Amino acid sequence: MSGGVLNWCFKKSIWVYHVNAGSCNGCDIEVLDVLTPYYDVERFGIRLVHTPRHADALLVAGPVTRQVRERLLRLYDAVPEPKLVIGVGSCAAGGGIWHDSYATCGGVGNVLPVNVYIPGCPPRPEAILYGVAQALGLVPKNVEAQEYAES
Amino acid sequence: MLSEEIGQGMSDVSHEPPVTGHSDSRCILSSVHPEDLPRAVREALDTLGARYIVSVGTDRREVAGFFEISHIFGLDCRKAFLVLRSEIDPAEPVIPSITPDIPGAAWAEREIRDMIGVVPIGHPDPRRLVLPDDWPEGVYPLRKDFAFDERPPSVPHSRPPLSVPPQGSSLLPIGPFFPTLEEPVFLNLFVQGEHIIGVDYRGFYNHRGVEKLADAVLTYRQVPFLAERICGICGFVHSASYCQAIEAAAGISIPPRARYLRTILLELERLHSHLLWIGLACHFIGFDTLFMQAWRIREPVMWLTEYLTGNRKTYGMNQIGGVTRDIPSDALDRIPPVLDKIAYETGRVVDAIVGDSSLRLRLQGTGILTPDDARAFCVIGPTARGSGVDIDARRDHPYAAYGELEFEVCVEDGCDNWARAMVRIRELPEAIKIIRQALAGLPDGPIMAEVHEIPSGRVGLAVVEAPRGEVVHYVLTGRGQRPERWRVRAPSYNNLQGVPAMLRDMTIADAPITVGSIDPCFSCTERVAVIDSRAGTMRIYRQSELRAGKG
Amino acid sequence: MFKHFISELKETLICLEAGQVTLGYPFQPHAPEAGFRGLPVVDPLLCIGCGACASACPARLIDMTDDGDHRTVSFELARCTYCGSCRDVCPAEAVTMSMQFETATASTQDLRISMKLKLVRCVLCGDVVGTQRATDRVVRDLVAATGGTAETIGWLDLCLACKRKEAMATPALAIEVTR
Repeated sequence: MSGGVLNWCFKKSIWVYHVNAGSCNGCDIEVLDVLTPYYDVERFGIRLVHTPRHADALLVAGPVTRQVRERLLRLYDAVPEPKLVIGVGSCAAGGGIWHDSYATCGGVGNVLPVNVYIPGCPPRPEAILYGVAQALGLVPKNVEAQEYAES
Repeated sequence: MLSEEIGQGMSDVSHEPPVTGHSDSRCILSSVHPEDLPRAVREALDTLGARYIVSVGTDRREVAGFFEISHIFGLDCRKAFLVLRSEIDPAEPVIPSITPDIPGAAWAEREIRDMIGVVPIGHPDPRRLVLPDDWPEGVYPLRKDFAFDERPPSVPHSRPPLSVPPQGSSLLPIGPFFPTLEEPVFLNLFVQGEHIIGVDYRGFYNHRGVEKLADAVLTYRQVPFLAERICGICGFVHSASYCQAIEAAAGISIPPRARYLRTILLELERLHSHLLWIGLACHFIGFDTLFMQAWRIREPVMWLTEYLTGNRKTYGMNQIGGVTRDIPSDALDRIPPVLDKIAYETGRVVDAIVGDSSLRLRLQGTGILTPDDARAFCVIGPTARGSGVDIDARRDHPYAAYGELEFEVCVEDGCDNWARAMVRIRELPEAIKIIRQALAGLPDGPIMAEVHEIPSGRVGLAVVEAPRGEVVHYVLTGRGQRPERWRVRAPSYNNLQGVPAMLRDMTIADAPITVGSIDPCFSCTERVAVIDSRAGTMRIYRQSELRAGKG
Repeated sequence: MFKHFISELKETLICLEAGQVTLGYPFQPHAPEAGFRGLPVVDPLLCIGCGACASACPARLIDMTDDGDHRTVSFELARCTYCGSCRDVCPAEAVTMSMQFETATASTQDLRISMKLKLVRCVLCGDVVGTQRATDRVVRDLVAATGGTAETIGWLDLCLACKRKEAMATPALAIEVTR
């Protein structure tokens, strides 16, 4: 889907379905935390929904364990287009501390097409807000690869 | 001496006198021939009053030529542990099952079968527990000849190991993704109309291979960070328990200041966890006002831990020998006002909800777990204390600074969801009391002991009272600066096995809060693989020996 | 019934007393306190390529690969657990845990650090001795400790195995052992 159309589709607030794909719960409780009074993500119209059929975005935490992988794929298929996938936490971004374990798939990027990663272990609620805002094109990216060669 | 006493009691079932853990006199190791195991277990339960904790399977073929199965028991009134160890011939990897005597051992034996390949003979429900559905049979990840990063190809058309529903019941499948489930878990409710007559459970969606990483690729000093991420809610409990286990195995005594700092952080973690639970429990029953208020009250604890440790969660403070960082210099001024506010706010909330009849209607009289069932399934923590079972690792097996501090163990007799909620609510002011005492008595001095090379072949056992109950870490030190075996037993591992008894005769509407009332943490439980077959446990429950006055 | 009404009143009062507590973030910053373990930052001018961080990292995201004249030290920060072990063990104090937490990105490539440092190879056998920077640091520390000069420190361009062989072949270095 072209960027322009996506931006138009998501101009208003998005509805998010939160998925634990083998996460330790750290990211999950911080995701829930953004709903609570101090961070109140609902003031932006962003709310958690209880079925993927109503969702605009999937908020996935966890490295995607081998057992959960197939169910995650089915969940992704159940979300209607247009859709966003946001990977929350270091496990989602790169597989975390168990990226190479026999029981995980090494990160959400190895299973689904991810639009934005929110690194952290767990990321602060502010970092999650920033990441969701970035997925909506509202804030810029602050990180860049660094390369150095000794001359 | 305790080990001599036990030696006499076990003399006709043990072929050697018991020894104490090399550096840990509270840990008694008794060697038992596999065929004598059922009698040894009966001896431990009946004569010694032992409480079953967990079973561990270790592949010691390379080092010693056999598989080792250890059944670990707590001797709570003696503040000690008993480990019954059996050597299993690799040519015939079988062992008599202890599940007929101890229903709470059902999962541990299934896990040993999945991960090591030693089959429990006589186990009433030997289905796969931990490994993914598409994992090939005959491949055992915790065997030393399996590489930690090996990913065998998927078995096509694999199905979850579910049991057959009883005649005349309908199926209500819940999960693995479901609104009131924070973690993926599959519950197959067998219902007749609104009433639940049985449950099958397929969990272990969070199996990440934690134990294999520790004994295959990480070093002793990297494991605390792995342990902390077993669970994002009670991570500090796991890293503390692992460090304590290694310290017990290696005979390392940590400085007093480090013990007090661990205590303060453990109780802060209890505060955040219980407040989180209160909010979530209310969310499950649709009472979102209290969900928001409980989490509002909780938030300052998260800011406090970010200030004290550098992160809201995953404090990263535990290391073998003590803690890695000291608290900031103005911590003694910053912590008390936060505690005061939480004490005040929690008091007001409790005062408000006590008269809330719709809340009581949902929670009282639902999810009944009788004291006998609680003992049979070896449940722990608030789940047990809500049914009148008076156990608490902080008092029964003191660790960190708990032996020097005064606190009350909160026990309720209601046996229902309300009783379990009240235990957690009452533990909040107790946690605050402990933190205040620890701050007042915080000793000066170093925060890290000098740690020399950790010798191999030593057993270390540590318990920590997590918000959900007793967490046990068993470690067998190895060569190459990593453990030979590390076994984590989270409280939800036992508590989940008690859920079928709680759900019996409940309506479907009561199911989420009843499961939630044990404060399940599937991540803790599933660090290896979690599969719980409720129907299987229910079948065990119906056996007459269970009814004949167990516990 | 009345009791229930009172309890609802009390619950309402709790909410009213708390009032609106929502933080100004994202319209106002909400910085963490000092000591926060945010995204690791590596100063490429200080790093000596010793690999202490690579051994310590629990997520094993730090890689060191030697190729020809250079050692490449790379960090895959996408899977960083922010434990701070790299900062704790670095002898050159090249790693700091920044206050940065707004690290969201569409591509994990943005979270890579890659540094190429010059290698010193053994003049006798060609094996890797270490990085030039590590050698420079050794010289600096030895000069400071012995009061000598850089020129007096020999064998800096020999690997450990060759150093041993040289030492065994040098009579002046022999130590007499009497029983």
